[in-house]
This record gives sequence, C-alpha cells and structure tokens, in this order.
Amino acid sequence: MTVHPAAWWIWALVVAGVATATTNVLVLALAVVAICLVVVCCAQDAAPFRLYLVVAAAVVVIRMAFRLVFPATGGTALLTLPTVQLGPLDLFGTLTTEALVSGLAGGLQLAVVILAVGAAHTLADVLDLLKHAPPALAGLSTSLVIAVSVFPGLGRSVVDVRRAARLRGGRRTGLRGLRATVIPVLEGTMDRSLTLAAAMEARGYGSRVTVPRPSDADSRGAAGGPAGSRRSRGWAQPACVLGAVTCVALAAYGLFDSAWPGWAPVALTAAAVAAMVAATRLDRTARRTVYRPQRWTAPSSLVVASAVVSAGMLVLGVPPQIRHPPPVLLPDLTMIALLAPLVAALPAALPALSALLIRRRRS
Amino acid sequence: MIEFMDVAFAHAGGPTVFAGFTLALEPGQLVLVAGGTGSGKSTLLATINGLAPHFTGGTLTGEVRVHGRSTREVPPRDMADLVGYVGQNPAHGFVTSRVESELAFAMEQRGVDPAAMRRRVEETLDLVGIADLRDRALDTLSLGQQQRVALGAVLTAGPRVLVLDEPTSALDPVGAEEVLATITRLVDDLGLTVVIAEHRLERVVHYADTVLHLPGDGTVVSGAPGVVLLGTPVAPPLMRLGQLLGWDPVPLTVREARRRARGPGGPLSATVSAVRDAPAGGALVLGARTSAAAPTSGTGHCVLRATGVRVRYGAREAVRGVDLELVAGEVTAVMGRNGSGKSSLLWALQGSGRRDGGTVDVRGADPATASRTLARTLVALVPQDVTSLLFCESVGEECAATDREAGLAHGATSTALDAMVAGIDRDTHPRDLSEGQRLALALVVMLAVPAAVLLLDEPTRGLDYAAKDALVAILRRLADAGTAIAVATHDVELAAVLVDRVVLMAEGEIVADGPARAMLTGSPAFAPQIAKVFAPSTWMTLRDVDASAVPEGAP
Repeated sequence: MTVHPAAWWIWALVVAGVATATTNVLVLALAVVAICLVVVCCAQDAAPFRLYLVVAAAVVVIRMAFRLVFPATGGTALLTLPTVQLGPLDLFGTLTTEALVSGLAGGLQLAVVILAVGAAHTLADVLDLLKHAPPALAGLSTSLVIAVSVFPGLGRSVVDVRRAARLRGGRRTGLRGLRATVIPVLEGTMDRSLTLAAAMEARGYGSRVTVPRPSDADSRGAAGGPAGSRRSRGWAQPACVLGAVTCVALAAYGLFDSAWPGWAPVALTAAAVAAMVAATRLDRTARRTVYRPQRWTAPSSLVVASAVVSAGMLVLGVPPQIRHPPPVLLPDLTMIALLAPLVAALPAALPALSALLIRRRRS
Repeated sequence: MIEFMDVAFAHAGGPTVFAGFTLALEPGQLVLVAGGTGSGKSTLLATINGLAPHFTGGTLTGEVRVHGRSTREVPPRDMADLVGYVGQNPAHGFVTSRVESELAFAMEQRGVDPAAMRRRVEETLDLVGIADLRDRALDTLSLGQQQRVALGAVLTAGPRVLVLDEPTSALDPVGAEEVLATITRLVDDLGLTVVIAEHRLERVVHYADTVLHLPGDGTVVSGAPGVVLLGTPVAPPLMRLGQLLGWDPVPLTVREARRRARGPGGPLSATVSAVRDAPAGGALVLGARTSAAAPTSGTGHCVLRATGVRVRYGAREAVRGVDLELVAGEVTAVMGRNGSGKSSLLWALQGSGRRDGGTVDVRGADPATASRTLARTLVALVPQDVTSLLFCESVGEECAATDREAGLAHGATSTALDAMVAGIDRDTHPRDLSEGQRLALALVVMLAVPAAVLLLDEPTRGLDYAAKDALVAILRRLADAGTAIAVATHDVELAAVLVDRVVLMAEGEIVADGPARAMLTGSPAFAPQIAKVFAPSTWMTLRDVDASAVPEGAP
C-alpha cells in the first residue's frame, strides 16, 4: 500500500500551514505529536527525521531563551533576575508568564513547520518526487536530481581530506589550514564533476537523436514540435520558475508576518501555481518519460484528505479566541480544536490498515 | 566495426600521444589495450566515442568510425546508442542514487516508451547479473557491484561496442572474476565488441582476441596477445614464465602453462617428485628472499601490537576484535575481499581513523592519543587516494612545505624524492604526475619524519609493472632499514614478490595469518599465476622458477 511522494509533500505543507493559523500552545503540541506519530508508523527508515527533531527542539529553546534575555514589559512576573544594562539595551530583568508562553507558541509554530518538512523528507524520497516533475521541467528536475545525489559526496570528500591532512601531522591553522582543506576538496570536486559530465555525455544525455515512441502516433498525435521553437523561448520558462519560487518565498514570509493581510499568502500561492503551470505549458517539445511511475493510490488521497480536513476544521470550526488565546500556559480548547490535529495523524493508521486488509484477503 | 584511419592525437599544448594509427577492428572481439602508465591507453579509448577530443580537448587528426558513424561529425552524446563507455571510477559517473533508476536514467532522458524501458531494464538486470541488487542504494554496493551497475547503465542504450577503462583494477580477485565473466558473456552471447584498457593484464589477457600495445613512443602495435606482448615490460607473469623457459608459443592461461610444465621438457617433468616431497615453506626456494620468508629467524622485534581492535560504522561492524602484531623489518600484506575491513583496520592502527574498542601500542604509546608530532614518528599511513595528501600547486612547493612541517633542512625532501624516483619536474602540478610518481611523492611526504610503522592502503591501483617494481624496491629497502610495513592490497602478484607474511581478513576478522609462501600458494583465490601453474610446489615467483629450473644460473 504505497503512498505517492507528492501526497506526503502536500500533507506536510498543509499541516505546516495549519500551524501558522493558530498560537494555541495545546493545539501546536498536538500537531507535533501527530507528525511524530505518522513518521514513526509510516517511515521505513526514520533516521533522517532525528536531525529535524533536534533542530525543532533547538528552535523552541532559543525562542524561549530570547524571552528570558530580552524582557517584555507588563504581565505576571514569574522570575526576577538582576538587570544588565548594555548600552541602550536592558538585558534580563523580570520574566513574565505571558512572554514565556508567547515565546513557546512562536517556537512551536516554527517547530511544526520544520517537523512537517522533515516528515515529508523522511516519508517521501526527494528523488522519487523530482522524477514525477512534468516533462517540460525535465532540465530543471534533472539538475536537481544530480545535485541531490552528488551533494553528499562533497561532504564525504571534506571528511576524507581532513583525515588525510591529519596524517601529515603538524598543526596548520588559519589561512594555511583552510588552504590545506579547501584546495584538495575543490580540486577533487572539479575532477569528479568533469568525470560526471563525461559519463553523462557518453551515456547520451542531451542527445537529439530521435527515439521512436509508439504512443506518439495514437495518443498524442503530433506531440513533438520542431526543436527550434524550444530554443527561441528559452528564457521564458526559467523566468516563470523563478517567479514561482519568489512567490512561494514571499507567501512563507507573509504567513509569519502579522502586518500582512491574511489573503496575501493565499494570493501569492495561487500566483506561484499559475507560474508553474505556465512553465510546463511553455515547452511542449520536451521528450521525457518516467520509469515505473508511482501510481496515485487510494491511500494517497486519504493522506491528502486528512491534512485538508484537519486544516478546514481548525480554520472554519474553531472560534478565533480559541485559535489565538490569551497567553496562558493552559488555554481553553474546544472539541473541534482538539480533534483537528488528531485528524492529521490519521495516516499513521495506514500500515496497520493495510496489514489488516491483507490478512482478511488471505482468509 | 571500429576503424581508425591514420589517427593521431595530441593534448592541447602537449606532446603527441600516438600518431599514424590505422586499424580496422572486426566486430565481436574482445580487444585489450595495454601499455605503461601515461602511455595513452585512456586517450585511445576515449577517441572511440569521441570524448577525445570533443570533451577532453586536444587535437585529433585522421578519422575514427564506429559502424560507419564518424566521431568527426557526431558528438559523443549521439554515439551513446552505438558505443557504451565506462570510465575509470564508475561511482563518480553515477547520476542517481538507486540501481534501477540508474539503469533507466539515460532512457528516461531520451523519452523511451515506458513499456520498452521497463522491458530493457529487466533484460539488462539479468544480463549483468544484478537483479538481486535492483532496490539497493548505489553507495552501499561493493566496487565490483558498482562496476556491473555501470556496465548495465550503458547497456540499456543498446550499444554495439563497449569501451571499459580499467574495469577490474580496483577489485579483489573474486570481484574481478565476476566482472570479467559478465564482460565475456556480453562478447559471446550478444556479439558485442569490447575494448578494455587494463594494467593487471594477468586478469584479462587470456580473454583477449586482439591486443593493442602502446609502447609509449607514439606507435600502436596490434596483433595476437601472445605475439604482441612477448618481451614487453607489460607482459604478465605467465608470459614471462613461458619466455624464461623458452616455450613457444607462450601460454596465456594457467591450464595451458600447467600442461607445458608437466609435459616433456617442462621443469616439473623431472623434478616433480622432488617438488612433492619438499616440505612446506619451500626447501627448493633459493635466493635472497628465503631468509625473510621466515619471520622468526629475523632480528625483528614486535613494533606494533594491537589487541581487540573494533571499528563500527552505525550498525555495521567493519573490524571485529582484531589482534595483530607487526614486526620490524617485515612486510605484511593485509588481504581480503572488498569491504572486509582492511582499510578501516589500517586507519584504526594509524590512530586518526575510528576505533571503537581495543588497544594499539607502538613503542609504548597509543598513536590515537599521542601528540601529533609523536604520532607521526610512530605510524605513517599512505591512503588509497594519495591526492588528498597533497595540497600545493607544484611538486617543488609540496617538498618545501614538507620540509617546514617536519622541521628538516631546506631541500631535504626534494633530495629524498630524487633518491626514490629521479627526474620529476619540480614545477609539475601533483595531479599531473603519473600514478607511480604521485605515489613516490606521497611516500616521501609521509616519510619525511621517519616512522616505526608504515601502512599502505592499496598502493598499486593504476601502477604499471615498472612502477610496481620500483615500489617493491623502495619498500624492501625501508624494511631492511628496520621499518615494519603493512600493505592492504588485492594485488596477489605484488604480494608474491614483496611480502613476508600475509594476513587474510574476512567480515572484519582475521581468518588466517602466516608466512607469505604458505598462505599465497595455499589459497585458491589469492594464489599468484605461477603458484597456480606449479600447484603442489610452493613456487610463486619467476625467481623461484629461475633458481630451480635453471640451476646453473643460480648463485
């Protein structure tokens, strides 16, 4: 019972979006639990998720530590520390419950976003996802595939070179030490890139020799246009892709900036989608096929539905005073606010469900 | 059909590699390209699909045609459906991260119909025998498996010619056999033309129909293996044996040589009974190496004592509780399959690699915890990739930097380099040196501070026979001066002429440890060619045969 990689990414992005719609500490904590539960139940190898957990925890701690160092005025005093004056800044001083809780809420929001992306990365192979990019974006997705596969090699070569430098003994510090690491790594990387380029060239990457495609004749008609039209509009497609990326970045920023109107991120996301559609439409000459494409299965729809329903419940079914409660450690909850994050955790039941189905089919 | 028509190639601003080369290779052959390091083997291979000069630069005159398609008119990428090319390090040419997607990559890019693609991937998986690896990540494969995946990845394009640059030089003997079996199957069953460059000719020469020999003077000599290679410095041990004993034609396979050795006039026809009666350890063995073959008889004392060494990477245990002693003046070979823990053990012994358990004691100190300056006098390690040791832009700078590091007088390293390999231009970039010269430079750099123990990780990868002989001479000299040396190697022919003792590793454990002669002649996988020929006896080098078969020539 496989889930399409795109389904996991959609699930993760929607769950991350949910987190930005509330500052309720309990709801956010439940969302963290939901994400972890899904990863534990569905991931074949949860090792990459550990790094995201560490980063998320660090973010929460740092957000709270900031509230301790830079005090806010007003509220119930929880702890009073001696004030340190540093030029125009007052450091430490009175720590209030309100400041601490708002720090916690802000940290948890970011933690949910980080964990959601981590979960998608753990549950769905990035390379698998890139494989399903539309044929028109083949050039872009291929360079991303190569970057993703080759990048770990760079890290390994840094380790190798540092280890070899230690063999020569002697203490090299400062510029000399940097040079002793950087030069062999760069030389090695250049060598390897040339080898890779030669291998790709020898394997026919970028070849214009046509391959007969039986499906062309019956399903698509005259799909392949003249190769020249591709070159003439060469700049338009990258511009669309860049525009889409910019829109997504702005939308992400807008989500966290309270000064932006609420509809701005939605509009920007829509613009990004439009730009990507335009990019795929601009190049109809690209010929690329996918080896053993993943099918969109019923569980894939279930995964996406769980995230969408959860987001809908939280945004439409929970009153604003519950979603953005006053800063107390245990804010009020409604039944729907309690259930919404748990609905997002439904995909965790998939493996058990499929095992049950298989057993029933056998008997 | 590959046609070379008056082909000459010169590197940009460099010397001519070969010139006036005219040859037509019939399809369905296995063609072996032989020659010393830097003789232009790789360049010759790259001209077949046009990577030279389209990709590498340089000037090609004349014309190369493959099945009528000329590299003059067609770029290498449009030759992919005709010529499959696998470079020296296949892992560096991988584009994706999994076996199946790697095989499909080229076809995906060219828009091959999914159904046809699926069928061809399945066929190729079976053809190169990697169906059981289909879901594996590429970086978890052994080198031999990676080589076969690389073969499969170019085969999916359906080429008529395969060009392979040193496909077995990094492999252990068993892995090399598997890759060669795959290659010969492609020649036999599919009628592919295969062109291979290889340093370890003893592995390939008996499969070859034609040999192209590049003596290094710009010519290319072609012909049958037994004729072309005879008397050249690249002739493998079996051919040298045949030449020494005056056999005509010289044998190419061990089976052939064994028959000749036992036949009338063969060295075993008269002495075979004496050989059988000879005690293990070799009473027949004469010459300088006899005394060294018995480590206990030497003056050596234990320099390095390791007990219970363990190395763990995540859940995998690479070295499991190894006990090892290295003796002064003795050369030890650490042998075993790819991935049996040889490198991990050497790095752990040196002290800068991981060590998760056990102790290492060199002259009363632990190299892992000793200060950097002290550690350098204890154990020196020459890693597999020596370029990572060198970070200056020229050989001269590298020598000067070493002088400064080791606190030597200016010019000391340079003098030492001359003593080891004469005539290296000090302005050359270390990466532009030949493999042998670069290894010598790395040795000089590492030995600027004399160490009690010298460890070498796969030093002979990419070395030709002449460079190997030079390495053997250097290491023997160091051993005679009292250094304890350990060499991790797959090269059984090197082990036969160099080492006193062999340690065999498997699954991170030492499974056998003994004198080289008994170990090498007793093991089916690690026996040198000559030991295979004279199987019941313990002869394993030409010198053994020379001393016994031609007694009047012996001292």
